Amino acid sequence: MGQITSAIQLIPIEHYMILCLTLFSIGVMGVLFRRNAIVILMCIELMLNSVNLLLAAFSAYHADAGGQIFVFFIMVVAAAEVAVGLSILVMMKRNNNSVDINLLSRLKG
Amino acid sequence: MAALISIAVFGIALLYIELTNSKKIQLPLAVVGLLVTLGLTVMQWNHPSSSFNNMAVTDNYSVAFNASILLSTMFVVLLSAYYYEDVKQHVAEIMALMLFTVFGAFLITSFSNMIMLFLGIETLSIPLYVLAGSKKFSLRSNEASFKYFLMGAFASAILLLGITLVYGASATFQLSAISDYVNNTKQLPGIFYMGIILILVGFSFKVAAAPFHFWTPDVYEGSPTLITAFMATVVKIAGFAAFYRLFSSAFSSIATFWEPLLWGMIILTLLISNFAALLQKGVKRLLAYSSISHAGFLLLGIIALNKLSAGGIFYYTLAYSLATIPAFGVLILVKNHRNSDDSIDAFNGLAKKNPLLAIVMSVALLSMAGIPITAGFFAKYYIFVAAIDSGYILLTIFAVLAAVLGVFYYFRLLNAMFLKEGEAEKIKIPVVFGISLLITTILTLAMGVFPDYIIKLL
Amino acid sequence: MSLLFYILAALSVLTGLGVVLARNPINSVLSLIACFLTIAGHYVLLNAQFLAVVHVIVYTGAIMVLFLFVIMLMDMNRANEPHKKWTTKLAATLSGCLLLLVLLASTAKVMLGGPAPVLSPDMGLIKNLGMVLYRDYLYPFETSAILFLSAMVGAMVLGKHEPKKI
Repeated sequence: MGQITSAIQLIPIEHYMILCLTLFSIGVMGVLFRRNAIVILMCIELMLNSVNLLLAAFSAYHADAGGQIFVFFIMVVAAAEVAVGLSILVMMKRNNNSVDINLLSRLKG
Repeated sequence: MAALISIAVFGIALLYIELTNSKKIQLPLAVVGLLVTLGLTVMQWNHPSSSFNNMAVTDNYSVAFNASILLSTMFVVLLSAYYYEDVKQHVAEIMALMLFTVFGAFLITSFSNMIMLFLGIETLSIPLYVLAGSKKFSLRSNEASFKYFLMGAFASAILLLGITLVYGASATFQLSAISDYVNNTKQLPGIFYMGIILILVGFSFKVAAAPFHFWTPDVYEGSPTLITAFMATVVKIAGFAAFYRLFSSAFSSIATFWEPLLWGMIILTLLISNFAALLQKGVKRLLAYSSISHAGFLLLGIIALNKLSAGGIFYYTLAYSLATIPAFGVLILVKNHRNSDDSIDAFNGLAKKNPLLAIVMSVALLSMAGIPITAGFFAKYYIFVAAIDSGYILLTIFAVLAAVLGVFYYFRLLNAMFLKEGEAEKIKIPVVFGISLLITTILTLAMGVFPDYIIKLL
Repeated sequence: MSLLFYILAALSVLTGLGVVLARNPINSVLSLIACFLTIAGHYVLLNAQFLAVVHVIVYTGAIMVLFLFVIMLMDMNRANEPHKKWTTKLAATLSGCLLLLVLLASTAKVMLGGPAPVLSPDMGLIKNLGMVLYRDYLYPFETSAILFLSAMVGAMVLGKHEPKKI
């Protein structure tokens, strides 16, 4: 364990930030890029996870457990969100037989 | 704390009542629950307290906003008796979800920690995603729900990144500690500023302010009308209460940084919403754009950031809710009568056969437009005074012009009701529905005549 | 040892791109699972052992399986997603890159202040986290119960199959 701990001190926090922000941007890109609703949902999960990793990194560097606790709450919320989101998708699929978000343009104006 | 527990307990009780499948109990139970909670909330007035390691603070600010959230919810629940008359299933669940939404709203009016802000916003939003889709066989409702969900989840992720970056700089989630950090640090790191921008973006998604308002018209139009009324009022009140609480406590010392951003957002919001509203044909979309423009006026109260702001925002949200609920209520009746036609033409000649509905609707519209002797006039007045007090004179002049522009589209609807000919016939007003409409109208007028009692509260 | 971080980071980014670029939703899910596993590896490196375990169980074990179930049951496992116009794709890519640039610009000159980080190896263990969670963060813990309840009720209201009557 000591080995890992000393290794992590070699990695500057900036690198964690670059990694997480890259992942976050990939998620944002996916949300804008894709049309399949379920993939968009996954991209949002990716964004949430990059935030989680960033929180854990900050928490380690600040030596404050609060950040890690927040990660648990984000997981709670993500689980609840996915449950609701997927049931909305299932409902839509049943009525509409498609999860292509461009069908949503019916509501445009 | 007692109010919070009571609303949760009544929500859970409603879920059990569903087993009896008797609507005779469901509605009264929801109303009793809201009344009990209202009583418990008001009892906390002038008894500020903080609980759970300073995670939640109860002060007059949160009590006032909570009371107005409860009041709005109560009127919406009263309207629901008629709205769900023919619906057999899930009515108790829908009401329980409304109460859970109120629970989430309570969390964010009284938060003092970023974790509570995030959890509260999610507890507020998740039941609403479901409520927006509660007309299960209507494709429009499905789509509104899905769109709301996607936008909401996306906005939450952005808000979260903002909170994380602020945490990365300040090493704390506690609002007071963040404020101390800002005051004690000479040069704040870039991530702190970025965090504030992202939090601002997340919030403007939630309260529907431009340039992140684009989901609002679609979601408001597609959702069941009653739920739209609920969304438009409760989310707005709670969202702005949290918005002001956060920016007036944690970030007040670096207002010079975020005020220009907010300035731009206000201008954009007022411009886009008012011009778009002029072009709308459907009343529901018109009300959606009007709700966006109200967000613009409310942001004016936040940018002012002085001792008049809190009172101004409180008065404005209350006046806005008391006008929005009857407007949507009348819309429900007219729409039902006209085979779900909600264009402005459906209101033609409403005043001839249904003078009561026309009067209720006109008071609501006049209040939204900000015409004197209705609450809306003083709402705008107090917000403008607060903004001028902080030196935002140009912005206030712009907002006044936007308000004048707003009068046009409200008068289009008034014109249709009173001057145009239409084949309107007598619409039967259900008793509970009528009472709810009348009380909100009377309250709107009362607030317009005696504004002092409300504004002096905060 | 610090090489491990960079390998994991490269893998995270690659699998993350895989989620976005895969044509078939199933491939996206698998790619996302791989991405989550690398993130779990990062948690271990950061001394957040309990978090790593919970992450694998909750995300990989529950949430992603839920995704797979829905894709399979709803028969969406075909790459029949219509192409978006290339202009839309270009705009999406550009705005993603622009966002990244802006975000990265803000990380320059990070001054996290205070003394150099002292990593306590026990911080991420259950005992320590439990003390913090149930003492300092009891309030959010309790209130998240209502969040779960409403999500549960909501999922049942929406997901229940009912014959068309209303």
